[in-house]
Amino acid sequence: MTSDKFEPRIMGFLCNWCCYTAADSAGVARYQYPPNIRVIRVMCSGRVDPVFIFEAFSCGADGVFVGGCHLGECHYQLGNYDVMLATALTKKIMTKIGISPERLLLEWASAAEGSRYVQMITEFTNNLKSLGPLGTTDKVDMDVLKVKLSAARHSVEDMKLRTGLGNLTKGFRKEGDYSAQTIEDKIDQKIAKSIDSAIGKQETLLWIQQEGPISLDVLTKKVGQPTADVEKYVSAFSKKGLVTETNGKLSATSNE
Amino acid sequence: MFSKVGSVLVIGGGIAGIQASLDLADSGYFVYLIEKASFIGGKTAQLDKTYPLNDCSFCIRSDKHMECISHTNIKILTLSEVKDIKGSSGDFEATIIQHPRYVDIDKCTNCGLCAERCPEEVNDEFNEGLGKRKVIYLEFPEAAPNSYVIDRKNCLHFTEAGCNICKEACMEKAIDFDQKEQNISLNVGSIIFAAGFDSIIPPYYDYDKLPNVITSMEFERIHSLNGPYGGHLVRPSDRKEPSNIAWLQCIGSRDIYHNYCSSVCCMYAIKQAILARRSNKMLNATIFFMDMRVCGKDHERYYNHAKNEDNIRFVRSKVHNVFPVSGTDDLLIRYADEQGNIYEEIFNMVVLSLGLEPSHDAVRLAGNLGITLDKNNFVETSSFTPVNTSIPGIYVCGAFNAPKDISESITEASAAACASSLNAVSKVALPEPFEVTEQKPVPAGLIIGGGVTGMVSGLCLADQGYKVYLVEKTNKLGGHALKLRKTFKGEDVKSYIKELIDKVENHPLIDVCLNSEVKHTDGYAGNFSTRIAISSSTETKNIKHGVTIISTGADFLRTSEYLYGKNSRVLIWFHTDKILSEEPNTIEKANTWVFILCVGSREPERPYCSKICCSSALRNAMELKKLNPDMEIYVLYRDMRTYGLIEDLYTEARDKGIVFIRYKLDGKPEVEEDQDGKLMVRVKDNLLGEDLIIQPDFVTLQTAIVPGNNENLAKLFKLPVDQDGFLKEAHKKFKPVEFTAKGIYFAGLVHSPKPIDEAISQAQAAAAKAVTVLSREYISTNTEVASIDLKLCVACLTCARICPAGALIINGMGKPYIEPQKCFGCGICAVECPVKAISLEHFNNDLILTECEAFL
Repeated sequence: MTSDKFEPRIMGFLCNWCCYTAADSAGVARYQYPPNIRVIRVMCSGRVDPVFIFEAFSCGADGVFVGGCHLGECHYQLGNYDVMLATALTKKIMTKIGISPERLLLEWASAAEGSRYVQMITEFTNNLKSLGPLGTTDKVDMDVLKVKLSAARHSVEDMKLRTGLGNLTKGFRKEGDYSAQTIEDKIDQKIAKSIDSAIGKQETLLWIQQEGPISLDVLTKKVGQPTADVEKYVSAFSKKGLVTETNGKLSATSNE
Repeated sequence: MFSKVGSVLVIGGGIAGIQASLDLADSGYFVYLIEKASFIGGKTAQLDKTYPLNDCSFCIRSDKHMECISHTNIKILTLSEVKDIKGSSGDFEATIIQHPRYVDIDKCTNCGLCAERCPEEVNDEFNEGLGKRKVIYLEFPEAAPNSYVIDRKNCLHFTEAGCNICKEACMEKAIDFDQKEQNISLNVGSIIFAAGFDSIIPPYYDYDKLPNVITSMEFERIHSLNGPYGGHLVRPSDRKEPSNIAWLQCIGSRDIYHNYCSSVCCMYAIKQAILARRSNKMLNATIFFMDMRVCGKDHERYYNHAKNEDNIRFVRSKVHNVFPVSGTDDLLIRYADEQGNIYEEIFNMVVLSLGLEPSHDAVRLAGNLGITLDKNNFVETSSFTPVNTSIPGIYVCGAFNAPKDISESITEASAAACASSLNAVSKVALPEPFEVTEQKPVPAGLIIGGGVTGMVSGLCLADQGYKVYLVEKTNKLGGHALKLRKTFKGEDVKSYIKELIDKVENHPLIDVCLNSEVKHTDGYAGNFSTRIAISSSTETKNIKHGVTIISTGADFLRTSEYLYGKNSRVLIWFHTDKILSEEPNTIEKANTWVFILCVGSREPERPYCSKICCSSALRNAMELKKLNPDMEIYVLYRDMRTYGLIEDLYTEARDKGIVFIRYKLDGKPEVEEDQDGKLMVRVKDNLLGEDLIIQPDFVTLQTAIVPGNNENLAKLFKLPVDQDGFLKEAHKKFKPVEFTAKGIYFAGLVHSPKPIDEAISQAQAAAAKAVTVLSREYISTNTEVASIDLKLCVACLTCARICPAGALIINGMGKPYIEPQKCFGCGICAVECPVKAISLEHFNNDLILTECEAFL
């Protein structure tokens, strides 16, 4: 019964030209739709950085909606294609940290499609209602999720991962095949490793900061990556002087 | 209030009128825009999606509407009509009647309470009568001006008891039944007729009796999300989804009452069929047509796609009757194929592709003013001055000039703005954007290509007082048009070009650079710097200019088909022009002449129509026939694409006994020669199903127009090239002469193949756009501009590669720099930057992250 009362909070990033205007059209036409979305206007859906999405989740959003122009109608030519890659990457990370990728929706609506916008938001809201609040149905402990989200938020600022995304964008622009399968394949091929290591690094550090002193075994379990990898991250942090080891237990250097 | 002498009056607030007003207003002229409906947007506002992108384009359209409404240099008078115009160029006196709206636009908040309470319902004209609306109403949610209006004819306040329900409901007290009709007198320097078209009211196919026989505009409304059925494709009689629909072409076009082609119906029928198939994958869509006239940019490709991938069935047949099928709401169509076999088929719904008639009100007004109209009541214009009417100071654009589509109307609108601005004497101040640079635009234009298009653009700019550099790579001006003899209307091209070259060469502000080529260019709108090299010398010249217009034209195909190059009697189109002007004896002696159309066009490696071949062949055939009436002339064609008013030429040619034989791509004619070099043409006659053998004296090949070396040009100016090798515009429909980069425009055949009149109107349009940049006091920039923190930048140059505006340049240190004048402010670079060194003014990361926090 409680889930009936659950009102998901949705963060919306809408492009200035199409989707934002569609939302405006919906208002002008006085369509009724769930009041769950809070909207941030961006000039282009291509402006939506994965950082924004994780920030929204970290701030307690139960879902994030990214709305752009229909494919081929971008005012900046390819911005909406670019965001397809950025959201695919984000979904990949969401899956890794245990959040249902359904909580992120990328859709298109033209300025005249107020009713389409309403339909999208209504469906998304209902879908989020059935998923429940962030964390509950994702079967992740809230405390763990916080760390994981924070790690994800920092991992998308990782230079290597971002370089990967930049190269991916360039590659797709050249090839022009933006089918879901190709995007999936290319991300797996080209940047899956960077994703793992970026999140792994961030989580390692966060867990040590939060739970330290902590043994490598426990840490590895928490991070959920092979011991060898976690060891690698730890030694990198040790070299930078961010982590110290005493009696087989790891802890963060306090002044950092 | 209404006393600005020398401003411009634009009649008609459709897409053409809006565009003309915007261009004029942006160049610093004051505009009165007169619209008879309660909103601006015209017929375009009723359309669902537009071809060939199938996009709704509403974003761009509504942008234009809003810009028009809020522009300080535009005064819009809705519900208004022009009663009379007196005076002459430079000083017209126009009398306008403005009908009362009964709602105060400034007070109405659009809450809709009035309509909710209004007791009276009538048919909704905006939805073509398919739905109902109240008597106080808003035509559609996004209508501009965004205010309700009362339909006096049906309002109970006026018809009966003095109903005041809406007035009482209105919380803003916006309703005023005492508003009276107003007579407004305007003093203007020039006038633009952008009156558009009226759809032909169909007396055809029992349209009035059979509910499921609908017009094309009704289809648009049915398919529209904001239409009467909420975008569900259902038929009117029972609101059931149709499973097969027939489109009937040329309804009210190409008949005895309308001896012209409406130009747009083939394309919109294909679009509607594609959309219908998209909303119902199982739907059968059939288009019954006579000739498939898809001659615009990318139109042929659209048609091929519809045929081959969207599985739309095309049947070449003029349907004579549509019968009701008793017991159902279905319709029976009886038609004959080319061989004369009769078929019957049942459809759930039939769409009549209605043609365009010049706006009836405008015809009346133009008639009163003494503007010369042609026999179909379109405004008569010359190919060389495509937007000038017979009265100096009065211009025309859009479908009132000739049937045409949105992009052509927009082009003409800009052209009319350019032409009319020469008569408008008073300039008003331009509103300056919030952020301007200190820099003034360089008052000069660089025009690349000295053909007709380039020369016309050059003259337009020079006549408005700007310096022009006209760069031509050959040693003379004129381009390919020098080879032409006459336009399809029969005007003499040679003397026109001579006059044009004279004007250009003698204009004090035009600097003609022959034998020259652009080597390097740099800068942004308002401030370009370009290096020009003169061939055969090492000399280069640096030019500073505010705008660039590219009009480098195109080339013709040097074919090897049909014995061309082997037999001297196989000619290319311009040889025929030459024989016509120089060798009357040859014509007198010739008994038989064959024209072969679509040589190299509409083939797999060149899937576009060259647009001018049909009319040029017919024009020359008619000339030949005139000089030698006994000559037998055969025209071998695939589709006769005498679109618009050119149809007349086709009718005339048939009357004169010219023989037309249609061939198919897989059954091309064969040209052979015997030992003496005599020609023999073999072609399969589709009507008879037999091979026909012709022994002509000459064969003229209408060879394709092919793009010039645009790859180089594109690289130099960082411009996009389309699949066919022509330059690609910012938006097919709404920005036909612009690129996404500001300050660079293009016109003529470098855009796509087109006849001379269309090239000239594009040239004028490009000049109009150029003036909007040159006339600014200061160079403006966007407020949303990205900038790079060089301390963080690692110079990976990802940003430079992905920037859609080409605003990122690499400086001498190997680091990127964003030119603020070029930046669109999309922010894509900020996302792609691996080290987050790029931030976007007004949309920076911190701001958005803070918003996130605040909202959640």
